[in-house]
Order: sequence, then structure tokens, then C-alpha cells
Amino acid sequence: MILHGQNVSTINYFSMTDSKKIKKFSVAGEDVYSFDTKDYNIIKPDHYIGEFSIIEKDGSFTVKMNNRQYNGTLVELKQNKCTVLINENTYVFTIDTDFSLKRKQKLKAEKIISNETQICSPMPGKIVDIFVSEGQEVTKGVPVMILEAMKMQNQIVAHMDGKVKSISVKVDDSVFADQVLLDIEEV
Amino acid sequence: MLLLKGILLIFLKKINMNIKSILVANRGEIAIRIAHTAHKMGIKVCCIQTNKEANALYLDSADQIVFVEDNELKSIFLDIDTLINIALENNIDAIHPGYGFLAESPEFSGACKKNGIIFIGPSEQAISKMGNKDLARKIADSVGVPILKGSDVSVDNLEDTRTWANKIGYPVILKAVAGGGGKGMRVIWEEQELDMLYKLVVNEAKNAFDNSDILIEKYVVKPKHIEIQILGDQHGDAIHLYERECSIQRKHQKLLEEAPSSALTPELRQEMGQVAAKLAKEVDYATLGTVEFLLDADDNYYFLEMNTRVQVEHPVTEHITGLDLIELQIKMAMGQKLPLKQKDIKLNGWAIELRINAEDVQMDFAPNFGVIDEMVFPKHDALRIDKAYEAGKSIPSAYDSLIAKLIISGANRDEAIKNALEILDQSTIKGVKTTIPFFKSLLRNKDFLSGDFNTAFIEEKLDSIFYQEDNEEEVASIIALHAYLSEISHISAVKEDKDDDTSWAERKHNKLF
Repeated sequence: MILHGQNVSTINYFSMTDSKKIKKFSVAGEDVYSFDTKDYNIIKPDHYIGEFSIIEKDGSFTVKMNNRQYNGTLVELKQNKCTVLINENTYVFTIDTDFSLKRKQKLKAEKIISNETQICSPMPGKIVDIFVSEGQEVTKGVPVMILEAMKMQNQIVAHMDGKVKSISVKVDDSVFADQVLLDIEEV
Repeated sequence: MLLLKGILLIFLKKINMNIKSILVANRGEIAIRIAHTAHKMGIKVCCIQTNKEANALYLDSADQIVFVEDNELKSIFLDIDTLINIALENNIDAIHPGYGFLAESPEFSGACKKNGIIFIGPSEQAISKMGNKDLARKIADSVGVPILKGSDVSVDNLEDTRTWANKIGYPVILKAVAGGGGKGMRVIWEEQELDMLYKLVVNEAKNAFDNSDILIEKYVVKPKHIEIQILGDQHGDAIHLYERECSIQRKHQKLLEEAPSSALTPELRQEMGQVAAKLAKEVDYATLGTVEFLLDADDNYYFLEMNTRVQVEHPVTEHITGLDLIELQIKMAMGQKLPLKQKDIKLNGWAIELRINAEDVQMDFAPNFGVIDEMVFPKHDALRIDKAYEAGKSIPSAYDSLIAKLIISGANRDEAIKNALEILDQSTIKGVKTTIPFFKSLLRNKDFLSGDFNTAFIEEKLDSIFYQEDNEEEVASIIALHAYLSEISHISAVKEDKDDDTSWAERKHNKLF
């Protein structure tokens, strides 16, 4: 499947005559990137002026932008979450239309009102020691657990001041990456 | 008469040390490496297959495979009795322990000898002396090698640790006496950290080395880590094979090694080499080994420890000396005399080794197990690859994360680095994240390029631990959106199909907006 981006002069023509069909998307990674699309094609990146093209062949993508060429591959696409591998680095994006993005931002603002924060395991391993108990007050930086992985002992520390709300694991439990270990709440 | 003949045969077997077969008591890249040289020498190789990695790449290098039911609690590669039995049952002349596992176990070396099996490594006595950090320090001191202030004895409890640490003065480093590979070591900057970190060190040491004794040593802030390769024979002779620069470490684990080091003047090189060889002779060291030193900012060197085994980074020394270290190690185990004199060992060119580990640098080097979907390295005259896996193989979580070692050479350091960047740009691994982006950043760093780095480099001087091209994330976002749009356009097309069942299933499967 071959797809070419249009150069600026052609885009403007389309925008002016056919602006209803233009769908805006936000692609959120570390930064948020916005795009105009039409009929499932990227017409242009919001903030970018100039030529770009994208070619796909067997799951490999070649992007030409700013007179440079980049090669990347799709690692995973699950609903609207997409992981891309480029230059041996991975980038995870959440893709939204303008509408759904605005709705999400509203929800996020509401969520911050509750003061809980979860500490999750950074990697798969085994819990070998727990230093705190439910109801205990902790300060930022204090070690709360030891996670053993690949024969190394890793300290899990509290990343905020607060009180331990709940502990979701016990000693000798095997955990996977991102598994919730404990919840701290602000006091 | 028969009894006498039997005794004579055993005696002859012990002194006739021709090795025709080797049992490799290890796995991964070092097993492949050992097999490679063994085959070059016409020696048959026996490897052990475990259920943890039943289709491991290293098994392809074996002439004979012995399957062992591995269990969660103890690895076969730590099971002395079973390893000895395998060698005896299969009439194998010698065992090579590789690195890690039982490579520095005096009991294993002794058990081999007792059973008439040649251990390709040091004697039980040599390992006991030099493999124990505490004893080694004392011996080094006795032959005039400078040492750091530290505990006179090894320690097995918190209170004695506290007393020593206060006596030596913070910062101190706690080290498992049987440790290696960066495990069982922690730096303690002030007393309030001691209790917790002592516990960590002891647990790690117990797990990894089955020995939780520690020693306490003065911690030199920001030293360079320089090690000298030595080789001894069973006739009392020992030589050095120059140094390796191993300062690029993260949490005391090496990531990049070079030979030689840009930090040593020819005089310092000669002095440290001679001192290392002297130490080897002092303990009748009759095989391959490494003497590690710390070099401070004023070019003072201090004995750190001796590694009584072949090391991961041995290939860089092989490049600059033109020698096959495993071959020499096997020959020394056979009782041969050193084939070279010190004056014959010439230093030629430069070599850098990059450890390509299955770690996600973007997630602070978190281990990244999984299946390698694709593994591509370019063909390049300056590149040697010692790999542990290939495409299609899975990286088990039971062992270390080393996927492959890239050993890159050049006429000088600048050329080696230039070659390395070229090679990395053409290298790709899919399925697992690796340390490649880290090296791309490191090899562009101006302090690294000028040789101005020490063991604190990664934490302090590296701006970015992984390299990104300009606009890289933006380009990735274009690819992401393009792939996403393709997918939903395909689904829409299916939706419009007359086949209602299909489109219902597709719609249910892909929740959109």
C-alpha cells in the first residue's frame, strides 16, 4: 500500500473546497502531534510545512521529511494504542479524534481531585521484602519493598509523602511489569 | 598386579593431560565461544540441555548433548555432583566452566581434580586465595601491590560492618567476597543507609553466589576501572596481555569495554602489567585470569580484585594481541608451557566491545525478555559478533540479558568508534528492546570520545541515555497514525460488505470512537 502526502499548495486547495471532510487527529506520545486527515489519509501534520511522504512495504515504513529519510516498523496496534519501533527506540501513542481527546482531558482533570497514587512494579520479578504496613505514614524516597529480578535486589521507593492505603502483594509473590504493588494517599 | 596397573593408569591419566573432549558447564554465548575454539583444536564438545531453554542456540555447537531436568531451585550449572557425573559417565576429559556459575568455585575445581577430570581454570588453592576478595587483598599487599583501605577480615553481620565502616570512613563499598558481575555490591554514602543496603547486599550474595560474607572497602569516588589480562602456566611462569578499559558501567555492570585504555601511558601500562604478572606468579596461577585495578585522577592505581576465570570481555584483548585466549587456556590446562615470552606480546590496533543486552534503555534499562523476531547485524570487516541467540530464539528470564557482544576494531580508537557507529546504524533487533540506542548516544558523546570518563560517567556525563534522531518521535507519530488509519479504513470497507455476520464480528472486535 502506497501513500503519499500532498505538498502544501495542493493541501490548501483541498482544505478550502472540502473542509468538511477533513478529520483532525491527535497522536499523543511524550508530545502530542496533530494531523489533518481525509478519507483515511494523512494530508498534513498540523504544524509542519513542507513535503513529506510515507511508504509502507511488508510492515516497514519509510518516511521522508525535511530531506531526510527515516525507517520504522509497527510493533503493535491495539484499538487506538499504537507502538512504533524506529531507530531501535519504541514510541507508544494514543490516537484520538479531536472530539474524544477533549472528552478525555475533561475526565483527567476530574480524576486529579482524588489523591491516590499507585506504585507499580517496574519489571517482572518477585517480592522478597516489604517494609511498610497499611496505615503507615511514609515520606518520599523511603524504601517500601524489595523486588528481586534477574538476581538483583531492587529497592521500590515511595514517590510521594503520604499514608499507605493498601498493599496489593505479599512476600514471595511473583509480579509482572506494571502490576500494582501498593497505593499511597495524601494526608 | 592388577591393582598396581590400575593405580598406574589413574596416575598416567592425571599426568597425561591431553584433552580430547570438553564438557561445557555453561550456556549462552560463552558456551558457543568455547565450542568454537575446541573444534578448532580438534576437541569434542559436550553441552547440557535444560528445559529452561530446550532449543537454545548453544546446543547447535555441541557434538554431544546431555539433557538434564532443570528445577526452579537450583540450576544444573551450579550442581557440582551432577556435572561431575555427566563428565564421568561420558568419559569426558575436561570441564570448562565459562564465567559465572561455578567458574570461581574452589569446590568445583577440587571435585574435578579428585575425579581425574581436568578443570579448565585455576586450582582449588588458587581460586580460594584469589577468588576471595578479602584474601586477595592481603596477598596483593604482601607483594607490594597498592591496596585500598578496607576491613582486615570478611564480615558476616551488621554490627561488625558498622564498626568497620566507621573506622574506614564513609563513603564505603560493601562487597560480597564471592561476588562478581556487579552483584552483591553497594556503595554507602552515610551511616543511615547502612542497615538497608547491608541487607540488600547479603540477600543478593546469598542468591547469586551462595555465600553472604562481605568485605568493606573505602570507596574511591569516580575512578577508572582498568584491568590487566594475565596468563600463567603450570611451570611457574606468567605473563600479562595488556589492559582493558572497563569504566563504562551502570550499577557496577560493564556495558562497554576497550583494549587498550587511552588512560595509560606506556610506562604505567608496563608497570601495571608487571605487577599483575608478579601477583599471578606469587599464587602459582596457572591459567587465564584478570587483575582489576582502580585508577584515580592522579594516576594512582589500587588493587581491586582478581577474577580467576575467563571474562566476558576477553575478545578485545584477543584483537589487540592476535591471540586466542580460550585456546591458550585449554593448552595451559593440558600442562603445556607458555608458548610466548612477555617481550613477544605486541599491542596492535584498538578494539571496543559493546554488550547488546535485552534491556529497554527508554525504561531505564528494565530487563526485556521475549522472543527475538529479527536480528540483523551488517557485514563489516571491523566487526566480530559473539552471540547467544539468533532470530526465532527466546530469551529466558532465568539467566542474564546478554544477547550478543559486538567487538569492533580499528587501527586506533577514533577509527574503532567510527566503525562502531556505522555498524550500529545498520543493526536492528526486533521483538525485544536492546541497549543499541544507548551505545548510539554514548559513542557520540564528546567526553567519551576524548577519553575523559570514569565509572560515574553514565550517571553524570551522558546527556541522554538513548539516542534519538531529530524529529524521531514526530516521524513515529506519522507512522502510528498511518497504520491506524489503514486499519480503520480496512474495517470500514469490511463493514460495508453485504456479509452481515462478518461485519458484526469486526465491529464488536474493534471498538472505535
